[in-house]
Amino acid sequence: MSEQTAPGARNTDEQAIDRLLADADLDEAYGIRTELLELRALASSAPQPSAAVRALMVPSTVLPTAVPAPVDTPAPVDELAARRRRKRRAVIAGIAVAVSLAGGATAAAASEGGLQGAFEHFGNVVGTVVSQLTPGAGTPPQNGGPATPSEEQPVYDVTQPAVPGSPDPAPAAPNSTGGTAHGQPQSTPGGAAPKGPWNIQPGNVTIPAPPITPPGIAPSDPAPSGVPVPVPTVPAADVPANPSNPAKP
Amino acid sequence: MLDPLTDEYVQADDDDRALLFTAAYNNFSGPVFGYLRARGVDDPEAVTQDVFLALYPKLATLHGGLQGARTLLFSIAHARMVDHYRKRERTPDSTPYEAELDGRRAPSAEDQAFDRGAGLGVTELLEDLAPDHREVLALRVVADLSVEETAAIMGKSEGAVKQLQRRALSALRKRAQLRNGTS
Repeated sequence: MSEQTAPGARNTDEQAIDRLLADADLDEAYGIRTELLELRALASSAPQPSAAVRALMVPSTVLPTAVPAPVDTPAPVDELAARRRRKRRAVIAGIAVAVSLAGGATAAAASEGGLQGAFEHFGNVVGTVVSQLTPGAGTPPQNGGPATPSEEQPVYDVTQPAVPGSPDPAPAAPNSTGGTAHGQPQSTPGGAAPKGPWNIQPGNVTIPAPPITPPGIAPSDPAPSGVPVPVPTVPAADVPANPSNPAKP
Repeated sequence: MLDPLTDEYVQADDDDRALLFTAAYNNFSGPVFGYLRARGVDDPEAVTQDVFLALYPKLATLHGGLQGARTLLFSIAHARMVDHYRKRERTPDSTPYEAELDGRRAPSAEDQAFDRGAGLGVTELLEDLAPDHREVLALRVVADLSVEETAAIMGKSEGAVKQLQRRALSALRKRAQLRNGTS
């Protein structure tokens, strides 16, 4: 049976029975006093609350008078423990973030150039990404415009194997300029139109701008043969060291 | 009968029904269970749970705190007991005969001695009383209700309850004397 006897006040029960007998004018009826005490003792045993009743009760104050049974009753929801767990989780997350930040700072300090170098590298990466993602922000001009050195350099390198068998491209340039004004640019593989300073005379200060060259006409297109162009006189070796800025040899 | 702990719950009955319900169960589940046992209800433990489940929806409109909850609890228990006896009267007993369960035989002296030792004889004493006498004794002795509360539950006047109580005690006394063989 699941009910358990609560500690009853025997004296209180006896006083109540005596008062009851006195009210009924049966003070001398001590013969039934024992029976009445037994009858009253029926109230001293309380049953354990069922699951439905326990669900309606306050979990922390279940049965302060009746001793809880050692049966495997489901543990009540502990709100305090849940709060502690939540707080502990937040502390652990904060520690994890701090440790990761410290690790990142340590790696940056240990990298090449120190912390400042790491910032510069980061800035370069951001600039590269922005230039790739933003149309027109980092793309070089298509027709003879001023370009960045990093994008102009491959064009210059492509022209090198255009003269096979000639270790020095400088004498080859005059030979190839017999019939055409721009021998070297025409010999670029793949027929790609050379960009930048190939049709620019060093003496000519005017820098070709994108609006000057009409679209569809490659800047490397040979000029009319009848027009004397002083470009052939310039050896290929005189190509400015910095092709991005042809004005400065 | 109320202890200081439950008096705190009385102050908080308007704020938290669960708190009042818990206090009511902790204080009155034993008396309700004993009342139902004294009245001979089958499975008094389950009926006790039903009584408290019926109490909970009425706590919102309850007045009087824990004392009001006690009166309401025994009103519900009394109604359940009446329903139990009405249902028993309507339902024919269809259980097969088993000699062990036959209550029409007289218990042996050994059984009587063990029953007395176990404290189970008092319920048998009550079974021989009239229903009103059993009811007034269960409410006044087991449930520890006052004359006014007993009168309210039984639907009688206080004078009628006092008279009924006096007669019930006299009848119980006679029964006890017959049982114990004393006069």
